[in-house]
Amino acid sequence: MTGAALASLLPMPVALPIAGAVAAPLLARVSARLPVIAAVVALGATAAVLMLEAPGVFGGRVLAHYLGLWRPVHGQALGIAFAADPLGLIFALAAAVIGAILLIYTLSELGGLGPRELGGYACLFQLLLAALIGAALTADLFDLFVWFEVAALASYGLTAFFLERPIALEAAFKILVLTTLASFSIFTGIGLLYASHGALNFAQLQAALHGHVTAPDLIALGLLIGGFATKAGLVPFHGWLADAHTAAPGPVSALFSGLMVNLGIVAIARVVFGVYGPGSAPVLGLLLVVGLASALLGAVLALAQDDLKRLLAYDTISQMGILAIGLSTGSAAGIGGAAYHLVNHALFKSLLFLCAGAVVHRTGLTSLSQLGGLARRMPVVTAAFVIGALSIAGVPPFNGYVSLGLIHQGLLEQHEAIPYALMLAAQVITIAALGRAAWLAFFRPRAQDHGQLEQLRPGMLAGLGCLAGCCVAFGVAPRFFLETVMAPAAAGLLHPGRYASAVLSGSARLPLPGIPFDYASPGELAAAAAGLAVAGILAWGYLRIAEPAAVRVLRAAHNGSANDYAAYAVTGTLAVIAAVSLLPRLPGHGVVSGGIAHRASAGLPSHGSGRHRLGCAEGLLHAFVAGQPVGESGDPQRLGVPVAGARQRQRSAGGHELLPVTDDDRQAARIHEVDSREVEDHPAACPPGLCQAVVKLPARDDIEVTADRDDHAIAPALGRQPESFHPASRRTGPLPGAATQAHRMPAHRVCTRQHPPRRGAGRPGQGSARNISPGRGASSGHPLASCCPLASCCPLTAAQGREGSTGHYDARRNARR
Amino acid sequence: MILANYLASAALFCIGLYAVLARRNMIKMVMGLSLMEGSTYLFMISLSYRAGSTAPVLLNPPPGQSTRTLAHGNVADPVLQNFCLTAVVIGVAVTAVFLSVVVRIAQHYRTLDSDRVREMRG
Repeated sequence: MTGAALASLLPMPVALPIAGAVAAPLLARVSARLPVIAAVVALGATAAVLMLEAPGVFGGRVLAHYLGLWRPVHGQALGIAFAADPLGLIFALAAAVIGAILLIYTLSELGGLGPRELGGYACLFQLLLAALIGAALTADLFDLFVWFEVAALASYGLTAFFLERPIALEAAFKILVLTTLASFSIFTGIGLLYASHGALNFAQLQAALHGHVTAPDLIALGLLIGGFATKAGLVPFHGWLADAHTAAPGPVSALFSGLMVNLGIVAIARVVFGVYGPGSAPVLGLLLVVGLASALLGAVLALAQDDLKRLLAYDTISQMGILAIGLSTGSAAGIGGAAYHLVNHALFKSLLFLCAGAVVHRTGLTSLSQLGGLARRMPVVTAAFVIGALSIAGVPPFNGYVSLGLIHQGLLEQHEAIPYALMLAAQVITIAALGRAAWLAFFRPRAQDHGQLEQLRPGMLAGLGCLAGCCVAFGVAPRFFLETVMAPAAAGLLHPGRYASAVLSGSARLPLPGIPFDYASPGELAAAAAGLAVAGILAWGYLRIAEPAAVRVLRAAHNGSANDYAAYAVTGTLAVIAAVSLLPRLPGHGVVSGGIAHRASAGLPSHGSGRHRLGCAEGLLHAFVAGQPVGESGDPQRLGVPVAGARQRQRSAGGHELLPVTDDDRQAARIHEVDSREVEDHPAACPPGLCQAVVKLPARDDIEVTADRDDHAIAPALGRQPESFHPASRRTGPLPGAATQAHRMPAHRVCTRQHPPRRGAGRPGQGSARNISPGRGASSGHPLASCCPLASCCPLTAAQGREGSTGHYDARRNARR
Repeated sequence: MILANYLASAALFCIGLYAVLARRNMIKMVMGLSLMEGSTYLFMISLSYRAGSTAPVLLNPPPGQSTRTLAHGNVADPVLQNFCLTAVVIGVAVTAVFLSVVVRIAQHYRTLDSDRVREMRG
């Protein structure tokens, strides 16, 4: 099928479950089980349609469909858009497949309910899944809000579904209060964004916000993060989560924990990476802090729980925190790991909740202190629970090992030693909590035998078997999933410009970076083994000692009051807004200037990396390069993407030059291409024949100019005439050498390359380098450093405040303009 | 005065928030949330207003104006008003669910005090 035909199928995955949801109460009049069977069929069809899209999307294409064929005109989209990018498709597929498995399980376990109950249940279940798929596939901020609300309404119904249990009503009230507050927050944030930029489309917003983030935009970002973090259950927005999961029956808890809370994380990823770009605010540092707090608090509270399902619910908060940590790394490994962990968490947490539901359903007991000795009576459930727990624990060959390892890798690449240690601590506590639960519920000898328990039915066996099998499959074939699925997802988030141009013009493809993962890495294996050992000791110790005072205080803070939980969420939203909008204005983030061949940590203050990441995320590098960008500044179309024969040398055509050209070799070499949106053309400020490029400069990167292997002539020219590239030289006029070079060099480009990492003068082995290469490519053929008088290593931080004093390029902080 | 709209919206929002955070009566909490909801609508409508603008109705233009001049002229932004319409519909549904849950809670617990409905804690 062609791309357009595939794209036109995109509304189907949403329409099918909604049709099933509408039909469910009617079908229930025919037969009680018919609506659930129809729901399984509808979700199977949904998954089949999504699988049709999968090869193209995971191959790097972003399929976009505008309802009613209201296609964008001149980059302006009015219509409602669906777009399948790799991350959205992963989430949508997980929702469809796991949703179908959960419905099969339901059919088996709750099939004895009456027609009214099953009709309503199937209706709400499919409505929630349709909302999740819609939120994954939408390309529009307001539609994201609408799907968020649809999911919220369905979740209210499902939480309060079993009305004979009063705690379900209590949980429904809390989820209603908190989610409604979150929806106001999101709604206001979207309104603010629209009022300033007149756009709702992710792609248009991304173009509008690129480098021009104002104070209302930052407030909107804070409101959006606060709202979606409530859905994700991140601390301090998590008040509703544990209660809602405890009160609902097993499959519903599995749906909430495995799929629904991920909506919040996916939405945060979309907003932070796809709309704002991580460089526009200290948002990655914020995500790191929130993620660590969630991971630790959720794990500690899980360890202290007596109710089995409540324990798993608090562990969900912890796992959402780990997803946020993965996103906060901002690197391919970390984000790919987060996408991997999103799927893994959906699998193993659904499995664990189904096990817990089966235990509660069979024994009628919920508290761990009363359970015990189930390993003999329920061997299948015990095995499934142990597989789920080992997956969370990150034990090879189960799936958690891979995703957690990737997130560790992402953190270590960013030199986040303290967050890495804290994340390991959270994992150890998580393992201890689950180990304690497994011991108390299943393996501990119990004085009173449970007697003959009801056997598992075939549908339940199938559900548990599928999920457990997937846990193993995702653990033993990491290379396949990483290459085909997770690396494109990371690329989609890291290259929002390509996503934008694909949605608006349909031409761009996502680059497909390789994410290396060493399965037999000694460090990871040692960390897993040590984690297991420490967790074992911790769980053993926790069973024997009284509750520590700190844990008692934490539990007392969760006092069950809807007012207090709302107060936590409101305080959290205010704190997020303050952090996002105030932190960049702190002193100490002034102009950072650097020069050619300055190898230093750009703008990295000497005090600790964590604080730095919070304070200033990225700088801008202004450079003059030969040639002119195609199109206008801010044109969302990536330069070079539609160019045929990109590997050949670009020739001048009609006075316009193609600045950066996509080249698979350079993708492989991890050269960061500059797209046209990063290039600003300032003819007045530029020497003739040159144009100004503004390159986003991630903190801690080195700046270096390298000549190209094809263009040997340029390097000495640049070296001899460095002033011609100096911003100050525009007053005196360009030097002739530069102009002639520019004339001879049709395809100059600015590209960046990641070097063997190094950071700071005295700390080799960290950081990365960026090359500004005039010419095609960034090979090390003629490094300009060798002929530049400023070649000696000079920390950029030392040059702070002396704008342009050191040479040809100055890197400025991303000060709001 | 458009500023009055913003001030009224902020005041409504704060009153609603106060009710949600400080009132323990569940009906009053729902009322507070409804007030907050109303304040966001007022905020959105005020954001879409431009000085001297007309309603964004392009059919049957008033005498002396054509549809084209209206479309290129000064009309209030209809998209934010559409937001509000959508959100009103969603808000009605949410309030209905909210109130039915509160009614069921009142039937089960014989109280509307949210502090006495907190079995799940810790």
